[in-house]
Amino acid sequence: MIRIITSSIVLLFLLIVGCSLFIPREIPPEQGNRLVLWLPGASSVQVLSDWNEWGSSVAAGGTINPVLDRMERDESGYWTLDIAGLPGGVYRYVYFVNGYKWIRDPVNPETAAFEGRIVSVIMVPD
Amino acid sequence: MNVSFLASIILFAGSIDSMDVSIIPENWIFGYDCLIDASAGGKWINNHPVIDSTGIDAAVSVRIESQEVDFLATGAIQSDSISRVLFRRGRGSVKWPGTPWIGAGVYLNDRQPFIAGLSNPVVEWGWVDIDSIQGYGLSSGGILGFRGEYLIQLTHGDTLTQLDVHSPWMGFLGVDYSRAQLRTYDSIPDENIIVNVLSVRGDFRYFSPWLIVAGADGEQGKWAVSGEIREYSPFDTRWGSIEIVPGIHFAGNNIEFPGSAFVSGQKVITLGAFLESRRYFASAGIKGMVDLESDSLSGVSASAGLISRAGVAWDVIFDYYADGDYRTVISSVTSDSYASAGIAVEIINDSSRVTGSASYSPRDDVCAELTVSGDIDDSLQPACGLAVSTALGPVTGLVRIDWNYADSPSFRIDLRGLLK
Repeated sequence: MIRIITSSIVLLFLLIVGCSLFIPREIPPEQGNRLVLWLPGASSVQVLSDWNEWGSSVAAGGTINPVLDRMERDESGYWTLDIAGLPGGVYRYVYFVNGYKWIRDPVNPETAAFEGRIVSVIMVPD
Repeated sequence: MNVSFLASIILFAGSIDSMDVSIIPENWIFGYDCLIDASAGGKWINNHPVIDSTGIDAAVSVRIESQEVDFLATGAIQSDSISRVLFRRGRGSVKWPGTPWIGAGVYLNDRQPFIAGLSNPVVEWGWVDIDSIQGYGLSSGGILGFRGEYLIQLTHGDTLTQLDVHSPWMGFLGVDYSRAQLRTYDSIPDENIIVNVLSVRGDFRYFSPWLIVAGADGEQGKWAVSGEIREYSPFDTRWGSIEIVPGIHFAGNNIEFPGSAFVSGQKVITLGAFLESRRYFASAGIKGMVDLESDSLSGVSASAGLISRAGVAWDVIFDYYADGDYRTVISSVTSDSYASAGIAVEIINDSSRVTGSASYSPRDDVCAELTVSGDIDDSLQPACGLAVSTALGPVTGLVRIDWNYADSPSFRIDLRGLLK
């Protein structure tokens, strides 16, 4: 009997802990039209996209400009970039993390491809 | 000699501040910068690092902008196995402002053809090599809000002509027209690729139709149509919305487009449902595709992402095609300001691979990350990598060491910066 109670308590604890892993975090209050990424440990995050020639990398030279569309981090680990000034249209984009890693927007369900990589898609209204 | 020349260029770029630039009118904006990329790479052989590649690329750009003019000149010094100085990019355009306005420009390696589309652009970046593209353009606009440009570009003996006309947003409708023609003489003998693209996007309050019609002159079957109904949300609350997106992608049998937007003979109907939350970091989407010509593109794609209050980021992608191919990627990373740890599993048909990662950030602008991966079967094929990255103002640095089971460890050091 004690074994069953102990097992039940352990299972309940694991269930509660497991569920807490899936309770979504709130998006910070929005100011304008922004891209937001929560990644507290990154040293730098940039947005590479159709609108900036993929960080200038598709232009002659091929070097990604390290400050072009670099996101700003707040104390809570949120990286943000204001895209309010973009003209209306469909854009593919990706987060360029720590100067070498491409990651799609984890909370944008729409995806496309760029040079064999999965990237995100955003529609900016006119 | 090269390093000293590079240093003198950088010093020159840095000293412009103190130069008297009063010859530039007050309402003109004068700017300059120097983009530097220095890298070295090699392998670890017999307990010794052996550097097999080094390179320095420093590009100095000078820019003058106003309502009437736009000048850009970028000179670069490249030094790897050989050293060279080159005029990388240039642009000079003038504009007579007003209504209507007209303008003209000359370009060198500055305008790469690109025509936006739905999800994938009609003409992709990199269609032609941007090196050695000379361009001459005329532009105009202001009449009823319309604007347009006619651009001739010469690249490696071939001629690329592009005409773009954009309508203003008319409250509920916007129309863009693009015509691109590549006439080849050198790269491929006597090829004539023509792309006419009409893009229409509407906004009818409850839904937004987007339509792209493309076609080429000449033979039959050189046409394509892509369309989607966007922003139709039968479920829309303060929490978030579910958007239903039906779409079609049809193309004729003889279409030849230098991009991934249209595939010859393609006849695909899509239906997607996307959940996006306005309040929480959570999303999910599912998209079904039916290929009416063959089953090669029929299938289902699904993705879901969530960042939890406990600081765990989840990302799931699942693709299944009617021919039996499938792919699943599940990743989970728990993070705080100082450290993170994660695991990802990727299953592609019969092969599966697991990757573990851990990172440590002793301060905001430094991150060290270790990844270890291996196949989930007898072959294992392990690999691991260590990357230390830093971002100090406009300069980023990266040191990477990668080891693959079948190869010697390799390393790479990269330093990039934009000096103004």
